[in-house]
Amino acid sequence: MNNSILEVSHLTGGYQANKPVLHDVSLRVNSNEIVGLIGLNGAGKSTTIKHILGLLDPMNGEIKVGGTTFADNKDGYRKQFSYIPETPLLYDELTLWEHLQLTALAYELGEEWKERAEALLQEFRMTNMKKWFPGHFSKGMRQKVMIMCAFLVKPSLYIVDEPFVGLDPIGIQSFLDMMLEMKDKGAGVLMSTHILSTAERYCDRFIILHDGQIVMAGTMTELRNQIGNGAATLDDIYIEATRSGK
Amino acid sequence: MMQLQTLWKERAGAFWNIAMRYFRLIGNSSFLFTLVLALIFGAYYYSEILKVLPEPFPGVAVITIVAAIVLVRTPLRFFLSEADLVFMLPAENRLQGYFRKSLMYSFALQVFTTVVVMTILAPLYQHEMAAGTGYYVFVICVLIVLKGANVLMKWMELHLPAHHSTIVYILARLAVTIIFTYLLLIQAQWIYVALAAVLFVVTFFLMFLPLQRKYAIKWEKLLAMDEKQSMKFYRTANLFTDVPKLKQSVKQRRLLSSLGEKLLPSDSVYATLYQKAFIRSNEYFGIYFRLWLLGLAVVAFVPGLIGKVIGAALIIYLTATQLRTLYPHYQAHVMVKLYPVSDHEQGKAFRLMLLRLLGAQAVTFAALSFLLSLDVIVFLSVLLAGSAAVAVATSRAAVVRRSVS
Repeated sequence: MNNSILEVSHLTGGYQANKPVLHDVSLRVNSNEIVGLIGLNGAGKSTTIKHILGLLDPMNGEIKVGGTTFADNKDGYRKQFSYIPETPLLYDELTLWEHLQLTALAYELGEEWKERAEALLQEFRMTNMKKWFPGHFSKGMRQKVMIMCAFLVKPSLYIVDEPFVGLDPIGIQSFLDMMLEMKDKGAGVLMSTHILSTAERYCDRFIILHDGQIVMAGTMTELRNQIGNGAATLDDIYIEATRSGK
Repeated sequence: MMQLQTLWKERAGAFWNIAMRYFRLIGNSSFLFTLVLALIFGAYYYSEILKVLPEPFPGVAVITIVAAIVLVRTPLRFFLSEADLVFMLPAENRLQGYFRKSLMYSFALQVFTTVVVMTILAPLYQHEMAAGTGYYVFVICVLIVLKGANVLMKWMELHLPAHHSTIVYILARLAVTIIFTYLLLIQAQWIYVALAAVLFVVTFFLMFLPLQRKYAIKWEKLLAMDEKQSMKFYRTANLFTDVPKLKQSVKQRRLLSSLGEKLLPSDSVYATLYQKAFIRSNEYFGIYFRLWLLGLAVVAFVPGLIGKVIGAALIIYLTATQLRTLYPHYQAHVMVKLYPVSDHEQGKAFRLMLLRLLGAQAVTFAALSFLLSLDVIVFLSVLLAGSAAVAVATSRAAVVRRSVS
């Protein structure tokens, strides 16, 4: 498989050497693919994401984005993906437009970013709020800013941590539509979420993480076969997986 | 608009704008007056104590330890924002200038502390070594260089992955700093000083420098460090005025909690809340306890009755000014306001608690002075001064004035 964008192999990691959070985690995201990362609170989803972002160093194993590791080429590694955090992180002293501008600056985007930014503002119905400061935004609006910044970059990999909380239904739909569009254009998406019904409809594959280990992985059909229930929903599978994982 | 080149300047400027506002408030408050008084008091007795210092007192060792702590403890300030975790990650390599400025800034601030501390220690050093002022100035200059090296080493140390322990590195820094400083202070033969310098340089290049090459910047560590420092600043400012940015930190303190339940009033809503807040929240208990120890030391070591009396009263009054920030602790809490409790009760509960806390200070100060002097006059004078300070500090006017301002 040489079209894999993200490749995590045998990752053991966390904050304390004697108490790793992740144990031998291997996963892959290919282009034209949305992968759902599913797990309870504290299962290790955010730690996995931090390792991929290069905020934590692996104790063991290796992470490659587009074939390079973080140690090989720091900026080159990070420019290949954009990240939507679980809680929106914005600068109080920057307007909405300036956040987009800053994203362009950080990723060194070409001048055509402005057109794309306008289109994004329209899609997420925030054109009027271009000059507003985040202090005036609701949680959902702040989330939309993060999403717009991520899509502005048009990277080959999206790392998305629980994107739906606080978004209004139209916002969710816009987000999902854009994600599908990017996927069709060749991007890969790693999405961590608790909203299993939405994940079931949009993700191509799933990785179920429990206590820092991958307990199940595969497409919907594969997962159904694994638990021997052809009609199971993702919720059923998830509950089954974490129970047998104990 | 943000530019990477001017980012540091903008952020440091924004912080200092806020900081200056607080400094002005601090300057205007009566606390400053108390502080100056305490300083004069301290300076006078410092020189008195030097005169009666016993011969075998390990003065140079004390200076070495104090200097080493000042040199090795190296908090760095980066002015980072949480949003950097999203926006700045892809630009990490282009932020080298930003981090360089942060290091320079931290260094400059700490040069100031180093010089102040070493100046305070100067009389003790003259007393111990009878070296010329010129030599001592030279020592301070070398220590500034050591401070700079420690800033760099701390920065390199911060690159270590979260799961690697930093303790070995801190101990190594401490060891080479202590050795070098000590040899310098005792005016050891230059060959030893040179050897210590070589040891220092070797440690720097072989142990610390590789860390920076090997590992990337640990954003979360830097953010946590920044957070800790700005909270420290705001907490200090909070002693003078209400700081909205202050996040509450809570510690469980099991033993103290059960002790507090027995010793402090808890028969009403506010009494219970204040008692919990005093013990578990922020630094209230720490401030109280430290000032208490300081007071005991003053009563024990300051010669002369007048000194003891003024010292005891001053410490009690100081404690009261510091604890007064506890009064509006629940101001912003909506639930408390919905409880069926009269407003009048809040002031009462607070004053009762203050009375017990300060009363305990007054009584122990007096008791200690009696134990050491076995003189009833001393005991009564200290007790009287203490009680007067308690009465002034817990009067309704003193407590309620604070909540209005």
